[in-house]
Amino acid sequence: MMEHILVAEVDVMQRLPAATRLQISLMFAVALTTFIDMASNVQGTTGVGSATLWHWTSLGLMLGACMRAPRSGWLIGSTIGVAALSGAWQFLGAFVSPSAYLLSPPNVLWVGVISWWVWRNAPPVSDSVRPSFALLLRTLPFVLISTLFVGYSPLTAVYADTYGGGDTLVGQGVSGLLFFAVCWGSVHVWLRQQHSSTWSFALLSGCVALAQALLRGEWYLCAAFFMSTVLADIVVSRWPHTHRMVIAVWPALFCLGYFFTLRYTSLLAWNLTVWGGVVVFALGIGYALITLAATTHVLPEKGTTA
Amino acid sequence: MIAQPSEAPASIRRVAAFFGHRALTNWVLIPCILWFLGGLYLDGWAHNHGKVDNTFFTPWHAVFYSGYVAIASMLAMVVLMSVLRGETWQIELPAAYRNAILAAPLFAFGGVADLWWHTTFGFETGIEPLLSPPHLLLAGSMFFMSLAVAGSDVRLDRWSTQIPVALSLLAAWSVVTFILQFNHPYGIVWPERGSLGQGNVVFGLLGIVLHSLFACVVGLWMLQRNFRRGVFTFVLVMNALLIALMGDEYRFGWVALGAGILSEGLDMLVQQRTLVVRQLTRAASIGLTLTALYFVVIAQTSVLYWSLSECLSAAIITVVVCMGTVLLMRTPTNASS
Repeated sequence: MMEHILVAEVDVMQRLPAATRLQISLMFAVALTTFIDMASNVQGTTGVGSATLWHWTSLGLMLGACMRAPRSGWLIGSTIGVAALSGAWQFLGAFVSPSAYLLSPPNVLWVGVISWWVWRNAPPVSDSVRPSFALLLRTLPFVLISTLFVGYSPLTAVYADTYGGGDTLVGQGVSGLLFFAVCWGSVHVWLRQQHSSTWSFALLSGCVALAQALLRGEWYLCAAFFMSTVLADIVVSRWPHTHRMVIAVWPALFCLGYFFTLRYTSLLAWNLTVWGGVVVFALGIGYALITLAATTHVLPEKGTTA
Repeated sequence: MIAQPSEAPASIRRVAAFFGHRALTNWVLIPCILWFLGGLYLDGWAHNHGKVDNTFFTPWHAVFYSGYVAIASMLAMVVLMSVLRGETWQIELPAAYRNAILAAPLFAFGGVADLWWHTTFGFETGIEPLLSPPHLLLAGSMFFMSLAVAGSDVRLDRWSTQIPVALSLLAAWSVVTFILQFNHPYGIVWPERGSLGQGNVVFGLLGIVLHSLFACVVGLWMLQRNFRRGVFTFVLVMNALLIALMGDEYRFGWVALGAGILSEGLDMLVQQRTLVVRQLTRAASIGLTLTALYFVVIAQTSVLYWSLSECLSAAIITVVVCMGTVLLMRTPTNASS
């Protein structure tokens, strides 16, 4: 099966023009160097808060990609603009910490530029069943944007395993979980709306979970997130008509899996009132998402079948 | 046994006909919704200002629960009158009314569940009252009761029909704001707290983004339904003042006022453009003005500890998230416009 998929992928790649293949390679290269740049800042391996060699490498690679792409004036302009902004920020000494670097205007804009570029230029997802490299390419913006929020994601900033700290830490942990549920619940709606591949939610979450686990080493929690999306995809692939219900239930399922994982692999410091409340809240988020989707008619009647 | 419409006395038939007029029914329901909401915020204010002790029997609870009785009674009346008109209420009443009618007994069930929860697990402290499952059930059912008028199928072409709908929307949104007050930027003002270092920014940014997103969704909803100028600003300011009541942070009323005026002013400039351009303009303007004015007000009235870089980042992220909501909500029909 895996061999069949790989052979098919190589076939698809070989049918593409050489220029497109090069551009795809450059997309991966730019995204990877940017990810390494942010990861090295988070882990403090290159000096906290500095714009690193990786950052400038990704800018250089992007300029190289611009040279070969037609109608890339906006991209050249944006890259040079971000480079100037990064230089100014570095000069002003505004990169004072990892979080200040990740969410600094130059970095946020840079991630935005890369995401837009990859999204607009990725080959169309022609096969609606099998995860393909085109889909994999489309996961890059999600990986990069999730990395920006490393300080907020419950997969990297865990508050539920800490006693003490008072309401502030509990409030922050709850906010992070709810925000995460809103964001990924919206992505879930969007994927179903696009009639995308059956396994696209799992593929997307898998790439992001892997990246987040590499950043902070919370492998069990990242696996719990991934498994919740796999379960959602399995149910939709087996019973396509349940896709609305799956969207509504997924945020609560994720939260339950998250707390269950913490309970059995580390420590769940929150009491039943708090974690039970978060699960109920997540159910409300799922219901709100499905209601919003129904009101705006963005969802098809049936999910994609495998 | 319920009397058939033709058998009922003339006075009852007149009342039944009155309740058949949706715009008039909305005007009957909205004072009850506001009473209910007022009770909620009064109780919240009392809790935050040490005006409560360990008894259930407080004046604040009296206002809150009498508000519930009022709205539940009115909803029961709506059902009764619908039946007297010979309708099948489960089909002929608007979906928002039906949700509210189902939510009313759910609220009562939530009250019983809360009693059981307290008996079994004790009383909540600190942030826990905002997160306990029975309280969330109460808040969820209150949300749907508050939303009854906003979701009713009235034509919004006159002030008289827009006002109750806007007030109902304000009430529903304010229930959400109340329950999420632990991360509301007007509740805990992180940018003026010097301690915690970077944690301060991490704590503050999420609240700014999340609550600007809610304001954006409300603004987009009102834009799509062509509310008169000033109505959105009114809703924004009232919501800000209600949450300000919790921590006496009334200065942020100016943020909401400025954001509302600027957002509606910008909409005037692009009103001839397509709906999606107007939506993107509104989303961007709400995200930007709410964030920028928030920092301006803090800088003018207190000390702003966040750097320019952090403030700019907050504004950029909020704008991106708000505009992303528009793109997510685009339907296949208006996606091509």
